[in-house]
Amino acid sequence: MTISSSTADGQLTIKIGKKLDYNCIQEFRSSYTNNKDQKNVTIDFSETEYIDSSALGMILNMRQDYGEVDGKICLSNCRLHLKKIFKISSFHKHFRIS
Amino acid sequence: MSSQPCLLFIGDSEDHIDNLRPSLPTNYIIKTELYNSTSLANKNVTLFPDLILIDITTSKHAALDSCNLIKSDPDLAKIPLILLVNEQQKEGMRPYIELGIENYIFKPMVISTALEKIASLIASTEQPHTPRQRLLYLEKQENQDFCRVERIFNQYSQRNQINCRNLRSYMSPMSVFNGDFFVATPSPFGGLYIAVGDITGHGLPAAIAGLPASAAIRSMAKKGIGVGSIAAELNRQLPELQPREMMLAATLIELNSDCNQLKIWSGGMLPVIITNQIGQVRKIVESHHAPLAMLAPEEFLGNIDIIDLLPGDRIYLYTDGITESTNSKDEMFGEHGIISSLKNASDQPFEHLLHSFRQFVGDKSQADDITLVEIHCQPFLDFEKNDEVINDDSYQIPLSMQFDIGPDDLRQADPIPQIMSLFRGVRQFEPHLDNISTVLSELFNNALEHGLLQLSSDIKNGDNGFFDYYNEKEDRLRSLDSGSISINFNYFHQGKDKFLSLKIRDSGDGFKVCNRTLIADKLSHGRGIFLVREICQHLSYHQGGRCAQAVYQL
Repeated sequence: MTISSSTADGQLTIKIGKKLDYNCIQEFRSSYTNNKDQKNVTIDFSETEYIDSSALGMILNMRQDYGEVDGKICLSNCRLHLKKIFKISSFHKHFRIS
Repeated sequence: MSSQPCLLFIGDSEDHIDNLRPSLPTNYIIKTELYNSTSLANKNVTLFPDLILIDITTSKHAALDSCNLIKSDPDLAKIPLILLVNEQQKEGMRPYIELGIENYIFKPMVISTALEKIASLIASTEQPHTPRQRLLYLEKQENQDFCRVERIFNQYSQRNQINCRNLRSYMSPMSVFNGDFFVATPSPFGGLYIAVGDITGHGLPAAIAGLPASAAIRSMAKKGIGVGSIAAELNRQLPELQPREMMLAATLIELNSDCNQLKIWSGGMLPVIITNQIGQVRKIVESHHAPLAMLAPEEFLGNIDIIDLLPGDRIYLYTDGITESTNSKDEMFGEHGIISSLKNASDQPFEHLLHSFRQFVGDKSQADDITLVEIHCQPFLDFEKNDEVINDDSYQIPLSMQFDIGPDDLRQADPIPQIMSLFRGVRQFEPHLDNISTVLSELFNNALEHGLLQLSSDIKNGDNGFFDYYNEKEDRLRSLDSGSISINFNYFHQGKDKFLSLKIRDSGDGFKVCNRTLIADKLSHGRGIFLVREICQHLSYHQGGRCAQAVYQL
């Protein structure tokens, strides 16, 4: 498993492994499908060195599943390169990025 | 052995040495001393030749006297001595042998034999043999070693620090080598790791113990490992590398890129002081843990404090060299010295603090290594590009690489990581690997999905489209039986500019190229090409979408 998730105080935290690409699609989706009632979601990228465009799709899909509420999902501990990719893709409009 | 061995000949004429001279190596310095000179004891001998040749001549006593003088002088006795002796004088050699001459050569000399004996004794003089020589030799050796070690440490400490406008530091070791250590290194998240520590003891042994610790911190920081885990790893590693009695008191902190959050692990150190914009103490973070290398791994605790910071806050890390320094009345500067100095500081608290510290201590001699670090909390800007600049100074010759990947290869392995691992060895590419990897994998996936596997992005528009699309990809890849993708890299220079061109060609039917320049929020596809366009200088499609060419500027 490269993706793990935990919940505490209405907060769902999804920890991503070294890579988030199309190979992780099912795993990523199942990390949140049973936790849709959580108020806030944090995706922890502290160990993630690489994401591709399908990861962007997965994250946008997740936002859709959570009712497209801006700022509900936080992309945290992003490396510079990830931040750059999120920025190019205008993700800062919909996600909190740190 | 000196590069110019000195050979001293003693005899009553220079005939024999003149015979030898043309055959001796040209770097030999040859001196002669004639018996009729008044003072045998002996100008040239005191120059410490590497070898002495003594000719037993008719004036037999002169030779024996010389040998006697040399071999009975403790400073000279170890200089090897060769006797030149003829057939008749052989009988009288006993007293010379008893004096301890090293070798003899028969006259008339067989030049080759003589040279062999001389060379072998010269070679044996590698080690200094008089007490004075030994002393000079050791002193010289020690100076050389000292300079080398100092250079090593200087290089290390340069690597341990970065230029960053948020950061000020002052380090003053008690001797040349520092038992305190200070590492500042960027985090992969755009923030900064800082470690300040104090190793048991002072000087060279303590400084040496600091080397593996700082190297380990740097390499773990590069991977973005948390400070608590870094501390745990150091605690485990250090006892394997250093004597048991050596410990490392250390504060490890990590700051995020906005510099508004501090994560801290501190063991055996003085508290970290955080002041607000006007220099008042906002928080004092005590050191909860034991020094590193003291507790067994199972006893070790890696829990950290997380502290929110405000813009303009300043964080102070320091070693006990500051607080325990005393003035003429033997009073210690203490934490209160730091706090009260900061309270009264103008807009340059760091300078003010150093100034008050120096005034307090006056001309009392330093009794410990001293380290003081200040971090001014404002978003980090300036060190992010440092890495790229450092890697920019070497010349990389142009190169090209070609990969042809067929259906079986595609099923067996993802080719991107393999290709990227080859690039990791190219210094010029290193700062750009993330970008290159993104460009390569986006273009490759397009060629595979839309070219070779003929998948339409329209599938993604369905309700469960995103997942259907990738399921379909798996299915089609499993049954793919022909076709290939070729990838061509070409690194080249144009004047001072350096470029990497990527050409990715597939054997499919081509696909309609998406030319959007902005991402429509709800569109679930087209992001990959958009990323590539933003990252690269140029992207074009040829052959009806079968061939993509991207040019990336390094």
